[in-house]
Amino acid sequence: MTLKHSFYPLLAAVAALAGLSVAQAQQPAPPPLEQDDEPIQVGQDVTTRITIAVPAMPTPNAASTAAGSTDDLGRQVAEIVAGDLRNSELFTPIGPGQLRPIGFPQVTAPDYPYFSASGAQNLVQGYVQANPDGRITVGCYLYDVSGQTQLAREGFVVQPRDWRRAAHRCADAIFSRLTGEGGYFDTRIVYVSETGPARRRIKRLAIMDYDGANHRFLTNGQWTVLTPRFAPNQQTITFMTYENERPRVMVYEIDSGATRPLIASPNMTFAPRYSPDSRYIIFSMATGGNTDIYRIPVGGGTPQRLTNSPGIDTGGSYSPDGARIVFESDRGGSQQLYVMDADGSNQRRISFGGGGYGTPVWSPRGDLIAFTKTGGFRIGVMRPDGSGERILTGGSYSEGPSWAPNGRAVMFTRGASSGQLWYVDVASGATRRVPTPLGGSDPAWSPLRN
Amino acid sequence: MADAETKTGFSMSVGLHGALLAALAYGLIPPPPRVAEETAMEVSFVDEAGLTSAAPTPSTEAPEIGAAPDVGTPQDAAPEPLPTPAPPEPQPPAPRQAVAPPRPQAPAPRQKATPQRPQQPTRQPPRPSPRAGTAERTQRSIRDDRNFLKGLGRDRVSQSNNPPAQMTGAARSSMRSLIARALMPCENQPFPSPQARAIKVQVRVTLNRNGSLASAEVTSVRNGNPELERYERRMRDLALAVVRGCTPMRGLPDEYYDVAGGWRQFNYQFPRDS
Repeated sequence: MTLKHSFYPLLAAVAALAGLSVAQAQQPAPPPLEQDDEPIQVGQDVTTRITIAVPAMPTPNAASTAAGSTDDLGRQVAEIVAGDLRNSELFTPIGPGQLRPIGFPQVTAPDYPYFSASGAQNLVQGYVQANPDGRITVGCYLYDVSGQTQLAREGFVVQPRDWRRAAHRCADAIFSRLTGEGGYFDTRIVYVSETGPARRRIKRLAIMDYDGANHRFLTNGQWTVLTPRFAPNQQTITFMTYENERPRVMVYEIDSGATRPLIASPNMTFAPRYSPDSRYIIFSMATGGNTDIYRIPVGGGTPQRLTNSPGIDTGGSYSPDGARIVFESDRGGSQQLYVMDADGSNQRRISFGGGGYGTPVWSPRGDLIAFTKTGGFRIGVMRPDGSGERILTGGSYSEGPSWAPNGRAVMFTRGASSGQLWYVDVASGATRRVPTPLGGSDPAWSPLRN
Repeated sequence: MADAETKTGFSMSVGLHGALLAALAYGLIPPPPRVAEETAMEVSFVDEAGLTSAAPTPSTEAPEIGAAPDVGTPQDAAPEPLPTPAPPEPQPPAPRQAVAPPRPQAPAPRQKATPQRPQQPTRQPPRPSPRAGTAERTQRSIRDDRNFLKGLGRDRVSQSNNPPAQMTGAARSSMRSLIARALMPCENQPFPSPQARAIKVQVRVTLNRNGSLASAEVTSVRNGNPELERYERRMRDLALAVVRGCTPMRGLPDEYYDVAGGWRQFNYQFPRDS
């Protein structure tokens, strides 16, 4: 799919489309789940939310597309935009259901007094237009209501089946302009879907949009799977499986669905993670009673050993520039975090607090490392030098952090027996549950989609 | 005896006073410490204030009376600058909306502003909220009322025979408080991140005499942390939103509008130092 930024003139004549091939309708996001756990507010103050109005998006010419009529799409796109912004916990959207519809000409000439009276500080307007080539254009405009100025505008041309992505991209543009952060709505999650009793738990690899839409299973549950990770180039997923009771790292090709072992070795391999350039995978391998971290090209080859101290070295994660690796090790008698250069040199401990530390993940921004504090099982962050440790979650058992591509939010597993996926806004501490059809664990957040 | 003591005391007193005067004259004694300048506040006036108190002298002459050559029949006063909803008046947009052709023309609020003859005593309905508190509105109101204002004598303080009010330390402090209080309700802005509070944005604010906003311009953004650069643009937006949201300002003394250090123009820092 291609997403192009373009600015279609609003008044351009658009021919009605006929005879379009019917594409697969997109699977909507499951209805929002009742939150069964009180959101946690830990750490710093929750940032005041931005009240933003998102009226239904009109169409210049009502037309039928493979994803439905442009009228219906306009309302649904607005609902997704409002939902994305609400999910971020930084906005209070006033959605299409609470606002009067706007006409197409008003898209670029907002009725500021009306939206000001609604209490909105900002306003998102847009349109959905069917193009002669069968694609649709979603125009997206952001306004400052009090200043009566346009802050941003973008256009997205997509195949009808990708209309949800256009909505997410619109929300990303708004989020980015109003927070200064990168977006993270046009992303996917790969995770372990869990069902069944504890002793015969079925764990399947599953993938979905960040909001739970377009969910599908990648494995059939015959073998237990753990720790899936997205390649930064989004072409492959690596994970660990207990195929034939033997833990080993696999690589899954997203397009073809083919799966292969990362390394042909009888030794136990686990905890894989990609290098930022997607060329290498670092993983742990147990040989001769010692577990160390190795590096190997994604396509296979000879593994290069990076650690060699007695004990278990595992959970490696690259810094975004690829120059360093953070990992966990019990070499000092307890599970702690260490940082080393990418070639294995210059290893030094960075965590010194009480209790153990595990599953470190370097932020895409490079400024923080997220981890599981194993004493109490909380999610926390610290700077790469070990300073500034901050616990983000409290209450329930939490583990396995994964960063959003903008480095602002962290997704994790909550619940020891029946896991759920949650994420936490690192700046404010606000948390939100991610809807999944079954139980879920080990989430891995994709980069922004291409 | 008593006389001798009195003489001695008197001469000592004269001598000591003389010495004191000499010391002062030659700068041997440091002047008494000045009252420390007030620390920088969030609201500061652009020009330094004169520190002398000067009450205006009553004028002996009548103030200038402007000739009003073509005023015509009296009109109702112009509507209050603050747009107040006029409940009984029919809302102009409604009919237009209903008959609006499907033509996708920008719905510029139809204020055709047909030049209204000054003689017509008809009351002009308040416009549907032009940009509240902006220079645009003020300029428009001046344009619209040009004929009406033409005959009035200029009432600028500097034009009267009264000497202009001069800013005093007390007045300056009082107005700083007034302005700070006026802006406070709008300072609860949605920070992009709690850390973004460390970014300090300076805005130069210019007000019209009626308290409405003439202009607001970001003059500097202070941020010592490169990791927070991504928030700077948003913090500029928010600083301007505070000023836009809390103007027009009411209750600022007219006599201190256009004087040196007056409230016509001031600097505002967002967020305030905590």
